[in-house]
Amino acid sequence: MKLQITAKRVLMVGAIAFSTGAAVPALSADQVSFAGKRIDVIVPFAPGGGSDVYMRALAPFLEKHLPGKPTIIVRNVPGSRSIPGANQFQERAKPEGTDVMVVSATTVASFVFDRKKVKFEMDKWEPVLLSPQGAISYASPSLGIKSWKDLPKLKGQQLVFGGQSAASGELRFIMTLHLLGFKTNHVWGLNRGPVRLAFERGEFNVNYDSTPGYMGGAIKLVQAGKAVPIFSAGVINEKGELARDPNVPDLPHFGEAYELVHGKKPSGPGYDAWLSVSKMNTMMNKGIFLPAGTPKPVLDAWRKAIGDMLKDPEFDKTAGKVIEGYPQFIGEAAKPIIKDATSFSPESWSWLKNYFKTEHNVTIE
Amino acid sequence: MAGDLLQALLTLFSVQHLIALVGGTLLGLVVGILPGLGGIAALSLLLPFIYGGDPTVVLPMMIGLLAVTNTSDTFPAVLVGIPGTSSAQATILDGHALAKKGEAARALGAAFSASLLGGLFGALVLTLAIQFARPLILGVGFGEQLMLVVLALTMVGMLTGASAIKGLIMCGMGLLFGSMGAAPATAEERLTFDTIYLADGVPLVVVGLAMFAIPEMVEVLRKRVAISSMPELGSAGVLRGFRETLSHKWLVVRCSSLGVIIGALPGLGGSVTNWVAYGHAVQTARDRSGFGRGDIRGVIGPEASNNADNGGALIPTLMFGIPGSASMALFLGALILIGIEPGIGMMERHLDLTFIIMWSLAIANVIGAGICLFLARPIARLTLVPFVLLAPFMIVIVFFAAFQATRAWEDLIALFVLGLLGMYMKRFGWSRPAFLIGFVLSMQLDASVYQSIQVYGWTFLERGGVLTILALIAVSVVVAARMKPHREALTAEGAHAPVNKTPQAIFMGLLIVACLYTIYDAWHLDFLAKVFPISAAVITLALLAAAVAHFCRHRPNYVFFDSEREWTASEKPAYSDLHFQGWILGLLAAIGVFGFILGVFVYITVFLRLKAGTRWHWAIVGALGAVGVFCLFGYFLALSYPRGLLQGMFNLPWPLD
Repeated sequence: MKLQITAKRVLMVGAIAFSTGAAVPALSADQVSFAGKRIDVIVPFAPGGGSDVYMRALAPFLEKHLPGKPTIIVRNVPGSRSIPGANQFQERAKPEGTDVMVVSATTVASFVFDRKKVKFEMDKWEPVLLSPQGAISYASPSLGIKSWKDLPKLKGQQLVFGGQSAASGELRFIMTLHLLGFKTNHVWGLNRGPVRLAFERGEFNVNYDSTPGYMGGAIKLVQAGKAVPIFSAGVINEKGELARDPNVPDLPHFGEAYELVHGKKPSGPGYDAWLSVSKMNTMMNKGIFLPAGTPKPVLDAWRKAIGDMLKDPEFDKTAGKVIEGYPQFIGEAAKPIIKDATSFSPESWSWLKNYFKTEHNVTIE
Repeated sequence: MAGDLLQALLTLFSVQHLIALVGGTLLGLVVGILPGLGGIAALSLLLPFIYGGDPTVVLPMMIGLLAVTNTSDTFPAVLVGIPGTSSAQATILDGHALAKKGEAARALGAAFSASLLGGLFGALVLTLAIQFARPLILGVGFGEQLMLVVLALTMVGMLTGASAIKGLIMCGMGLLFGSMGAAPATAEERLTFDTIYLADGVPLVVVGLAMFAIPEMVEVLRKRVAISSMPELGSAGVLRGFRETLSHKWLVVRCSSLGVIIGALPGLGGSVTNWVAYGHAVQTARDRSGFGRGDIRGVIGPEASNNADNGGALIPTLMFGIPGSASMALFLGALILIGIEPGIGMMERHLDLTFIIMWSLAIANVIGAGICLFLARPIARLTLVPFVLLAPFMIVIVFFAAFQATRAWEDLIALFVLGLLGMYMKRFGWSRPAFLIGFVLSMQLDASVYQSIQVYGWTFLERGGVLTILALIAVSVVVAARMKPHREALTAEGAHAPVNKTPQAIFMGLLIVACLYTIYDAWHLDFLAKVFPISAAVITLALLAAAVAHFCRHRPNYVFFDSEREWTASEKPAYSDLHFQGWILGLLAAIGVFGFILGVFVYITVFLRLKAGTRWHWAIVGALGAVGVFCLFGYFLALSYPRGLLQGMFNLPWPLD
């Protein structure tokens, strides 16, 4: 629905807005322009992290496709599992399309598990783009396995896994080990990089990496016979079912791994809790949000720019690899995922609470 | 192989590549000089421009930038005692002492030539290591990492100051202070007073500035006209410094090796390197009396190591795809964006680019050190300028730097409070380097003890690597125990006399309270989260008890110290140290009301007019100049500045917002 913009019409719109005292004139997406504006993007992590690279990779294409070709400024507000950055956005962002927030799995985990310190209402923000990112788990051949088909052999063996902490982006993985009934020794306080090094040294015998991390690094270990991929975290398809990761179609997803080990399809509050966590960690791995109350034309302009960006052949050639072959969710399409990721059924929540308490001595509310 | 190496060099000497390399290097020099900004800030500025760029052009630019921030950060460290980046902290001890003696040019000359040699050494080792460092790095497991942390910690023995007990107590306090934040084992929060800011602990940048920059500025403001006590720069110039570096060539080699090793191995970071190198320089010196008061070896050691560190940090980055430091993390991100996948097989896939990285590192170090050496003498003249004229700018820069840490108002408050602490530590002779080392290593120590035991049980002590480093630790402890620090004789009236004990007693009492509070705070936590802070607090309390015993005896001893007693009544400065702390608080107030840009303008104008007696119009010109520079940086580096009440009430246009 293209509108003819005439000077008269613009004047009229202005006059109506003025007379009714509305803060934002009723414009359509085509009339929104960010010409000469600076768009302030908060990345709640230090430079160089996954979310930072994600945003910086997208930024030049957003500049190109947003109406008026604005300048995008990426501002890192690092620390405390992204709570200060998100709180700052909640506090200061104006709903004009010029204040933007990048969210990662960690932000979502903080939002869900750290209610006390969180002042932001992520469930009310307007999503413009959700970029899922899968994960691939692998184990050491020293456990006596040659391929994922040997997965049941891990039962009863002592697994050693290193990670940051229980209530973080690591959750989707450690829960799988628990649900598979494996005995795991967790070693906390470690970032992904040092963990992979420790896996290579043989100090850990089971690990996972995000799919790009796996493709860039751990796959070489697999080729060298020092690691065996065992299953992927999978992705949730349009029907809301768990499906194989499109980047590793030959590897079973966690649901299949569960069946292989237990001999039945996964179900129950534990599996439901994992599905929610998986939406949190996998489907909401990275995302771009505008503040609550952003007018529809502005939202539409952003969503259109994202769509154009994804279709841009240049994007595919360069920055495309940061989204690595996963379906991208634009605007309204993202909302059901966000809802599922941030709300748990009472049964799965109490299962999770119990899991944290008994397995990790961590209390969640 | 050799052919590829030469080919890479030839590529670099084409115009386009050379421009990129020099451009990156210049940018690196600028951000290195500015405290608070380092390679990370500048690299994130470059990221948007590197897209789709030719890797052979983009890489020299990025490497040039990263290679030299540790070169130029020496300027503020030597000249004003402000660490330009956290890897310049150890340089302050002797470098700034030299500047005060009027020998800034000599110190800078030695520092830059040491940086140059260290950087070249790092590049050389990188070239060789890429062939065989893999087993070495894979040999360093959790147990070895723990031992490395302990080895670094023994360097405290070289930095205790006149009283060994007080030095150890300060190290303990550093460990306690560093344990603030989420416990590595359980992610439970310690000493955070339920605030979000403290959940990650106070950033190292803020602690470093508070420990060194603030006390130093207050002291110079009170006691001197200019930083240098001499009216002219000594004849001992840049060239002499250069010659001294060459005559200490083995120190350069040893400290560069330390830098490369610490940079390459997991477990320690760049902020530790310079302290270990400093400790090593002291350990291996025959005559140690001059350290801390302007021994050139105290400049050469850390400066050689911190530039070599870059070469070391690149080894795991390129070979494993695992960043050796924070700026390497960003570099790694950038590599991925231009389509290079570092890690296993990097040598096979991208041999040409690997060599370009190595040559760029070497050449950037030469260019960077060359420019700095050239500028050293003119810039050293700053130490002759009346300090009241420099002071407001320096105070503002320090606050700017602190704010870049996490971009929260709390950074500024933490800087002020810790600055006050640092000032009293200096006055009462409590070692600030010991505190800083404890602080930097605290989390590492806690985490690696827990991780080693979690993975190995106690059997980690049976590993060969662990035993080897354990032997080194024993040597280091013996050397430290046998060291006799240089200290003035005890007299009934001197600084170590038991006169006017109350302020010192209050300070010591606060330390005891801090230890007790740590125990109270940790008590309800999980065993794994509390074992470290409680053990450290108990040991520190035992040491404090020993210090108190000395304190109660009524005769001079080294536990007593008050620098206020170092001069006679006639020399006493007109203002107390709190007077200038008041002025520093004034800046906080100005920013709190007007926001950063306006606040800085008001503050510098008022300071120059009232304290330095400049005429109003010159004061305003000076303040406008500073504001202009901040706006420029703010715009190009996309920095944000602290907001004040004014910004809360009104919507102000850039740059006032």
